[in-house]
Amino acid sequence: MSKQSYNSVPKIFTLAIFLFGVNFCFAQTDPCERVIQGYVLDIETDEPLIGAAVLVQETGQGTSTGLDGFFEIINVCEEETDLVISYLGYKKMKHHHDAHHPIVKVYLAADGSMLESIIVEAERMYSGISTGAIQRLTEDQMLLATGESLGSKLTQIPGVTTIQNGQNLMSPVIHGLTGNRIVIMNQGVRHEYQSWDTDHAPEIDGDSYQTIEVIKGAASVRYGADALGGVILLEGKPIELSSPLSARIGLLGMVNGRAGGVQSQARKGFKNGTVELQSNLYQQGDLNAPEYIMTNTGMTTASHSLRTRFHLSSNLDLEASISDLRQKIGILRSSVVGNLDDLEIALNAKSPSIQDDFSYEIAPPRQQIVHRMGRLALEYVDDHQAFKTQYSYQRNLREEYDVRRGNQLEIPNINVQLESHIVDLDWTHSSWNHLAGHIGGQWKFNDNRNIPGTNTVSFIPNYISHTSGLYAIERYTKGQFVWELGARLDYQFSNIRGLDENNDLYLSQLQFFNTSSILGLAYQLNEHIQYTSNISTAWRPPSIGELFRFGRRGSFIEYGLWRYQVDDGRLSTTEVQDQESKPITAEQAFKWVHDISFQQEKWFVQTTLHGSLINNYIYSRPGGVSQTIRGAAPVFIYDQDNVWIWGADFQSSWNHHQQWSSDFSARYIQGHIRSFDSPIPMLAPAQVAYTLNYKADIPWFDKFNLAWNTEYTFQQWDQPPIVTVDQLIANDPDNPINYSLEDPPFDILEAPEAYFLHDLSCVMQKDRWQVILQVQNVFNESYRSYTDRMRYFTDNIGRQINASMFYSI
Amino acid sequence: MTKFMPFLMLLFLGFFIACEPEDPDPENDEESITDITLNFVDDSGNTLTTVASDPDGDGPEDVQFEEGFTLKSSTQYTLSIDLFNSMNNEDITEEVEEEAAEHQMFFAWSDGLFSDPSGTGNIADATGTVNYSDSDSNGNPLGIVTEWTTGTEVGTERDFQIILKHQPDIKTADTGAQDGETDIDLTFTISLED
Repeated sequence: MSKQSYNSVPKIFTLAIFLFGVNFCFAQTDPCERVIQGYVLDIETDEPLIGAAVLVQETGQGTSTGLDGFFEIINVCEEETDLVISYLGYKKMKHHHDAHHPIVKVYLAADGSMLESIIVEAERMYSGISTGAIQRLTEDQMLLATGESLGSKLTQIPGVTTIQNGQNLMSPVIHGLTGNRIVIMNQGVRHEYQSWDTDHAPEIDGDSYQTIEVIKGAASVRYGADALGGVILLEGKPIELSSPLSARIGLLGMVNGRAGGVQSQARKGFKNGTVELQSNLYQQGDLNAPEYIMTNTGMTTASHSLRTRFHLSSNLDLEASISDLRQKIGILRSSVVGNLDDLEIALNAKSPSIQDDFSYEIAPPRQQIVHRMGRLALEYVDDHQAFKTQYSYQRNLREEYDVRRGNQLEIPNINVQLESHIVDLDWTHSSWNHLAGHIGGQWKFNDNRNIPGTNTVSFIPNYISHTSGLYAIERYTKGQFVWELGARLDYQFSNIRGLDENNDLYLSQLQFFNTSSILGLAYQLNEHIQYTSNISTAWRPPSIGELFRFGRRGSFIEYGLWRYQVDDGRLSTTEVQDQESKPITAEQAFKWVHDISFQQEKWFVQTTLHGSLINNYIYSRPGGVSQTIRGAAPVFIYDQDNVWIWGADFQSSWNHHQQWSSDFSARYIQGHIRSFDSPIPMLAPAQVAYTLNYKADIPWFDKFNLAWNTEYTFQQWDQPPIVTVDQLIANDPDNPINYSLEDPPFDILEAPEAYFLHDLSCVMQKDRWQVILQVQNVFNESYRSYTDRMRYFTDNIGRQINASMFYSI
Repeated sequence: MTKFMPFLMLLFLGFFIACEPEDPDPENDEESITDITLNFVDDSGNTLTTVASDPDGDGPEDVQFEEGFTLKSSTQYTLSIDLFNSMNNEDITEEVEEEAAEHQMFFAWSDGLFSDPSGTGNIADATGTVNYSDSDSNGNPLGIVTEWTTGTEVGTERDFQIILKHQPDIKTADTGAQDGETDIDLTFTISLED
């Protein structure tokens, strides 16, 4: 057989996820009773290919697919085989099949197509939870979001929003929770970063993953404390053994910000292993709002990764990977204010006060991050079980530069290094009396230290922490029902050493022991309708930042939970508190998620309803106005309260015609702090979106897709009370009217008005070329987004035209 | 639950690495200003001094002013301002003078406190007159040293506001108290006596 004839470059694939959540069955035991089953489908249309030939190369056993594209080869003796799949007019492919892997799906690409035939072994869900609301970005969504940040990519999933600090700092928010209330799993490794502030976007290059999946439920049972809101799972695409060298090179360009990028990727499958090398570079200068330039909003990103897999035996795989990400992100120069008067001036200004000529220079204020990760995983699979053990190391270096006096300008005022070691063990056992599941454990060690030389009191202390957890999740399948039950035990110990504002040492120790659980149901009513419901409990210990932060950030002064006490209605920060003097209870969350989906030939509808109660929710609220040498500054204190959040996400698509289709989505969320009965600030306002897709049949092109997207974002009507800066300045500390220790969180400006945004996109393919053209904010609309902290100072980015071009080998 | 704690701790102990976090290094806060001293010197060399201080820096305590500061009426004074960081005994005045080209002091006062300059200062209205005695390398005023003649009306307590602005790359002859970031914004109370 000829080596060139089989292709196995997988491409990013997409499928209605809900259909496949549950199949994880293993092949038979008796050597010659192994069965290979699967489907052969057309990669472009998803239609079954009837009569495709499937051949076991070693034995010559073969069959052809039936009406639904299904094939089954019985009495296979070999543990490992090479399957050759062919169909007239389509690219032939070879697939190395392990008997322990479940049902395969073969997607064949037509001979003339740029796409390569791919194989998918089961619908591999990375979550390990079957009854949650899980959604994955489609291939088109991934393609159109090329060059965008992870947060921005994820907003295409209903229910996922962002909290922004300008265009380049976007933290993903799942059902109203963000930062250290969601977990990001980077190829199975929990991303460890300085998550104590929402203006710290996760240091992840979204373009180096081919699969992005979101669990919109509390998944603490599987992923450990903190996964209150949900989990984001990032994965590369699997590489076939013995697959030829393939490479993809892309060039990106954007008009607004005069940005450019290069993406490159090479991968090869050998007989006993695979290698993938990836490198993405990106530079962007000052961005433009419709009416003015936003000085110092540039950024640069460089990310590199190497992933390898060694197929040690038919049972054993070793994976090793390393990655390195460097980012330099500018923050709007005019967002720096010294005191309330400066803030008042900035709020009243029609446009930002500092507007320089376009530049790629990134001056303070800015963030500089280096995130490195190394990972080693050993996976054993046999007919009955899979056992995975993984060690990972991460080093996160964060430098933040503020506008400081002269010779201090190039000295960071925050310079912290967080090192993490994580060991994961997971045992997946196959169906036994209708029962299947995972049992495992995790151990995590974090070491955080301030790098000396910032010439300012450290905002957070040095600490180490150990976290260990044990979990079990079992699934009981009977008929159309799947029941899921899981429990987890966690223990966390932290040891803290910090310096207070007088450079006096304080020591503290923290210990938490907690449990999480999950109870879920998936019910397949008929071939069209699936319902899942999932109740979970989760917990989160207070983060070190929430306990010990102290000092000025921007124009506000912040005190962590253990850095202040209230004496006779007045704040005092003379003593650092501890668990004895000021006991803190961990956050405890209950979340209930319902997900109903309906799929028919032409229709797909999915609705998610969610409600959470979080006890001892840690948040910041007003603590008065402090008169400092710089003038009046508002003080924020961290406190605990009970909150509730509920909402709904809706997504649907409708194929009108072979060429025309529509997508419609909507989201709504509401959240209140219970003792104030006041809204949680910065929750995303309601939004509806409509997309019209047209697959044009243009002779010369293999693919020519056009899409028009219209998005309407409502004004946030459920907003916290407004206390204007004028009122803050006039505030009398002895007789506070507007702003005191007893008040709920407020906002200093009305929520921005509702806005309409329109995007236009075009994806073209010809042979090995792929070109994407896109216009965002087509009408150059001036608008401000409620969840963007920069809304106080500037409009959002104006019209953006971007083009990217990919060439695959 | 507490009963099980020792057992559980033992269970997890296997994973423990005996390890303490590093002691953090003390940092000298070279930016904060904690004490601002106004030195009013008359022609005969007599000095009247008042201090505003905020020893807890970003702590919740308000700035403390000395009460009952008075100046002689109808007297010519040279005002020099000292900026000091008491946390690490550092003179910030020198630093500001070194970077005069990106700093400027602005003043405002209640009507009648001074006869020269007339008006109420250059904070609300950047064109208001202040008698600057020092300047930066571009010939623009700095305001660490200024000249004043007090008014005639004695007794009433009047406000005297000083604002130090940090105006990197933007300071010109026309920039005012609305431009740049505020390093200092204090309002002293002064009364005049015969």
